[in-house]
Amino acid sequence: MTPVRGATGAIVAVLAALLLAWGSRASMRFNDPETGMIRLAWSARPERVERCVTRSDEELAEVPAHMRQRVACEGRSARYRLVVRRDGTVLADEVLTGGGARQDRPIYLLRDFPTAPGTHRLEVTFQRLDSVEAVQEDSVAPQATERERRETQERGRRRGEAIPARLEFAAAREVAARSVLLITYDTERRVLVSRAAGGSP
Amino acid sequence: MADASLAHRLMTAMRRPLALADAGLNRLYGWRGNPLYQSGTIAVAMLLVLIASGLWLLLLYRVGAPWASVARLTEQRWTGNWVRGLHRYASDAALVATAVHALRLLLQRRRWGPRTLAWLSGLLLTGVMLLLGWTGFVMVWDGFGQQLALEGARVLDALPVLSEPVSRAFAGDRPVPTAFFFLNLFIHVALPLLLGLLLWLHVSRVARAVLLPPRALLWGTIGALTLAAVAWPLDMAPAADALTLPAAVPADWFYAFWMPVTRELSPGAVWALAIALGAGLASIPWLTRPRGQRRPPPSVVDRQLCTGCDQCVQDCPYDAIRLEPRTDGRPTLVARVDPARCVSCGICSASCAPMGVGPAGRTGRDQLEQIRAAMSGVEAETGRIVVFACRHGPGALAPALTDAGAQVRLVDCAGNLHTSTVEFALRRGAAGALILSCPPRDCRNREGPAWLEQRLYHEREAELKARVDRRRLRVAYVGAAEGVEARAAFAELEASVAGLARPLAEAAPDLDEACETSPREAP
Repeated sequence: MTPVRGATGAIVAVLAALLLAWGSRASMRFNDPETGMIRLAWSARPERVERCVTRSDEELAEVPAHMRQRVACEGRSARYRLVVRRDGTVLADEVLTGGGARQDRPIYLLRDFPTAPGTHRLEVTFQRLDSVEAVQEDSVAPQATERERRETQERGRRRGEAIPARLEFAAAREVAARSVLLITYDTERRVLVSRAAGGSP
Repeated sequence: MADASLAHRLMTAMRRPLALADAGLNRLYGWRGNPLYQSGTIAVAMLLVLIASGLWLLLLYRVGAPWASVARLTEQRWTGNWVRGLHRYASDAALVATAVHALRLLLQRRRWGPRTLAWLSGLLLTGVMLLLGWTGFVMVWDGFGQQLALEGARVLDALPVLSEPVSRAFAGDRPVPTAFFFLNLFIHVALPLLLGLLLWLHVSRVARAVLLPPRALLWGTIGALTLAAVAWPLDMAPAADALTLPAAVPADWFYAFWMPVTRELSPGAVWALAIALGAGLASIPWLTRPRGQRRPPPSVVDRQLCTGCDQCVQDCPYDAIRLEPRTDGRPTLVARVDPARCVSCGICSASCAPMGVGPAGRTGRDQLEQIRAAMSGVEAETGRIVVFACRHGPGALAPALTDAGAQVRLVDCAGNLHTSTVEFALRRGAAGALILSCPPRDCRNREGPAWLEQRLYHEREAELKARVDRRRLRVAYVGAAEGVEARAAFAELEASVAGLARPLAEAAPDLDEACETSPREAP
């Protein structure tokens, strides 16, 4: 191999490596720099539309020990209507159900609405469509067994965890270019709240 | 079929630029160092580099703080940054080498019949490599990793298998769970095991699989990538933030080339496109195999001539020949070809001194008959140089060599050329014999040039007899676009034999057809 050929080979190899390095970090465009985004994202357990019966001791005796649940409930998750308006224009109007094949999982919501930068009037309502029978059984009978006491507590916990029958968000918010204004469900306060990059509401 | 002829024309058109690239790199690095010839082995070598560098990076990675831990190691110029750079560039090089390897095999028609398994496992290997890259970039959790995760989640959510959409994890209403990064890391570490298994499957139907490039090329490639990693250190892009929408981010185009397309499509369309593309690539062995009479026949063994010496078993590049006990009472074993593994390369034809094996029309006896017929006329008296050229490579140079005065004979592979044919040509009065073979790493039958050289110069069965004047013989390794080199080899041989006495032309050369290797007897 001649020195010229060797040097050319080395230069070609280095150029190929640099080309590879460039291809490994070249800029790729992902979003429109002049657009912002309104995002709705939350997951919450829907209320249950169900019928509960209290089983007698005889009925409980007929099932295996691990299935002896005093109050047995059957039903389905409630449906909810989501309406999103931006400056009075309806962006979404849809009915949501629980996730999963049997729709018995929490409602998982994720919607993105590209939006021009600026201040916008946003209105979001999330309203239960089905009526749910009010159940008052927070008090536990004095003669209840430990298991029945736990069952009652569990049903109460589930009801408390469920999303309220109506959620509403109505406010003017600034949407910045290349950033997301998030509207989400605050499980502690049980209301819809907004959040933007950097933690601003 | 119009489509078939269109595909054929397209592939023929693509072969030319590839041959020119081969020729250019041969001039720079020689055929031993041509990276295009070594694309498969370079891909394997890069996987080893990835494992070695990945183990080091793994020690410094934290699933609880993915971006921060990668940022910390990126700041460490001598113990972190260049290793990360090498890891990144080696992964890119592995993918590029894999693409080149697949393209070569596609254009060289090495994809049907017994090679189907290698083609399909190669496709799976490529898919796993892409998935490995995906998980690797997500591990960093910068803007690019986030975009990969979002796009993957969007497409995955179209499948009705997960009760909670994966995209929800990246919506910004809660931190991305550490479990996601743990699972991602687990997949990134586990997939190389699958790669190893698929690689074993990939080479399982070839004998003496070569997995690493020559040492100079291996260290040259690693050195060039290391140099790039040191000279152009990787930067750390800003951390992923679900509530910001970066207009553009630095991206690895080798692993994300598909994103500009898929982002414009619905998830269902992406799945349809991926399935159609995968099915199309997977069906290539069936779509492009030669039909009917055009399909080269597998080798067959003439059981009367076979001495059971096992040379063809040793030489077969595809482990397609076995020895088995005879049923005719003779004490030796007899060769049997498995047609399912035979690619009809004809290398066994040239390994057999009694010429008892080979594909129909290309056995040693067939070759002798053909050259007898070709040299029965006036050409034998003229003292011309006979050029034997592989029709799949330097055979394309036949017209230019004929114009230069050569008598060109095309063979199916340099390894298919029986040495008796060369001996016959020289004893019949040819001034010299020039064998134009594809470069060894570019042989479509893998080992043809290697066995040819052994038979001509190192007494490998069936060897060129000692009585043949080696001064009249040359072997040149050239590709289809290396006309200058081929003509130079021809001119050199022409000048060399011009100084020798005019050869005596035997009317009917008597050739040995005896096998000097001991036959193997049945146990």
